[in-house]
Amino acid sequence: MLPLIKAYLHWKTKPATVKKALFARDFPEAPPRPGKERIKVASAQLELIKARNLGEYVDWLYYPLFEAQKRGAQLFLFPEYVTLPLLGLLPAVGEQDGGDLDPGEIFRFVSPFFTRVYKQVFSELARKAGIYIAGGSMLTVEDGNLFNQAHLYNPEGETLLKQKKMNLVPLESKWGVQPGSDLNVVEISGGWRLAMPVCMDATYFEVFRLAGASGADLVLVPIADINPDYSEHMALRGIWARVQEEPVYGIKSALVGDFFGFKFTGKAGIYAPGEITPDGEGVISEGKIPHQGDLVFAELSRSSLEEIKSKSISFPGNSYYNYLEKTYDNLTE
Amino acid sequence: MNQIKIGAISFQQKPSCFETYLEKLKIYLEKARFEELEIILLPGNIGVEEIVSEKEWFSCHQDIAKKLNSFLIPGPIKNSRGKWESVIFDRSGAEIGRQEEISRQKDGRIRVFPTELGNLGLALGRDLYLPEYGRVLGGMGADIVLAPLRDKEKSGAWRWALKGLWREVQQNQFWGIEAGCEIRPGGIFGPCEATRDRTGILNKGWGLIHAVFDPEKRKKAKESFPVAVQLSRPTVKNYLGIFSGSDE
Repeated sequence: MLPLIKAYLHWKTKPATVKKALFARDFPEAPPRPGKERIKVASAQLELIKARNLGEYVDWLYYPLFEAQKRGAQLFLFPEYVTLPLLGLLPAVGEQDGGDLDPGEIFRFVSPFFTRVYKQVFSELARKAGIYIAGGSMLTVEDGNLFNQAHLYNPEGETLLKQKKMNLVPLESKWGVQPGSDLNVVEISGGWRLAMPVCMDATYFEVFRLAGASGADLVLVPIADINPDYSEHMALRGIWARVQEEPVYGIKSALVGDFFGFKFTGKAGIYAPGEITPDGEGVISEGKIPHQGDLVFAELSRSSLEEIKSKSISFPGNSYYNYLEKTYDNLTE
Repeated sequence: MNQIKIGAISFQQKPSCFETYLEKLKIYLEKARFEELEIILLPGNIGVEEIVSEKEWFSCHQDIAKKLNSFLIPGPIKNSRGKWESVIFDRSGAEIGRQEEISRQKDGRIRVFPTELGNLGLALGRDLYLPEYGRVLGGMGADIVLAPLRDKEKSGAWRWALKGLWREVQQNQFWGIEAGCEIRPGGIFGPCEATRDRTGILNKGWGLIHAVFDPEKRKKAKESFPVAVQLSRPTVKNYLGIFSGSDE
């Protein structure tokens, strides 16, 4: 049975099919590249679908991107687990919910096909839209290990950055996902430096300190939270809290909706240290309803960020090192 | 460990002198006695601590602790080294420890004080906004962190009030109490999963506020959201690597 399903998936996801699905999806003229002082960013709160074919999947990604690009977005972020809708391509899966299948095994099985689609679709969308696209993350197999990995593409459609999720949620550990080890930072047009930790990574200030130490101005965080009862306060424990500690802009995308018995909730948002938002809230733009699709957009200023960087509480310095070393021995033993 | 009844007193306006401070306190402390609160945090940044002597400041609060039969933490005062410092008094009025604000120092010492009510830590001034400080307190086994606020910046934004101790409570899963003067109302915090409405706020407001810390709820919160367990070793190793390139 498995070889048959493999052949079927191979056929359903072949590059020519992806190309055909993308063929008629055009964009307005590409916006200029981000400048030194300003960058226009947008992020998606995407409601899950079960894609019956690649056309449906591409449309799901295309329409919010089109809307954002039309408004001048120069950088767009998709959510974590952005290839989940492709599970709808599996025979019989489109019509039923879950069952006793081991998710880890399923993701390993579909990884070669979904990874190929991901790379082709996001690279092509970035090239056609003429903007930077963070494709969100997907489960993918590398050297026999399962990782949760996100890619960033430049307007030429080239991969600029790959980021493996470093701090997993317990469910991912149960599925056999392996953590990544390093936070990568890349520079784009205008000298903006970007890091892209994934979801749970934003629970830890240490990750944002790493981003800050590498000169990051923007930290992109794609999320997909399984949480039927969205809580505003629980959501504040992630990216919002981190940008109050380390002066960077934070951009969050979210995957929402029901999928195989799991209920995803969350809000896309664009965040900054409270001191540089007009009302002190630290929120520049945020999705409205945590279980429905939405799009957030903002124009960010470098000089505002530089001002707060110069005033903010500095990194604590070496007097903390011994304390912290002992602390982590206690915490992770 | 049993449930603990704790309280915090915050002032909406600064008292004009030391006597007014004590009069204002008296009203709330009578309520605190009635509620049989076991730990009471007093506000920082009230102004009068800058005009009384360190000796006078501590001896009067020592007496209050004894009379109330409660653990008492007065707001910080500048010590003989010129550093902001707070003290914890036990039920008998005995000093069980003191903590300086360390963020402006090269050789500051961070401490956690074991008591019959659990391990207590203090977070003063800028220390409250350095996530490293909270992480160290958590690593030292702090069960309750007390923050007599010395903040100067004011904002009506509801999220602004969560930038300090609430944020530390969430990422280290201890209990937290903050009390201030004029800047923002007091707050009593716990991990979101340990509070009924999942806000992480057990109580907030001006004057005397109180709540109960339930160790069982904290234990369950840590099991359902295992923050420390999921922190990966490579993240820690890379993070500690930043220090090798940092200056004081």
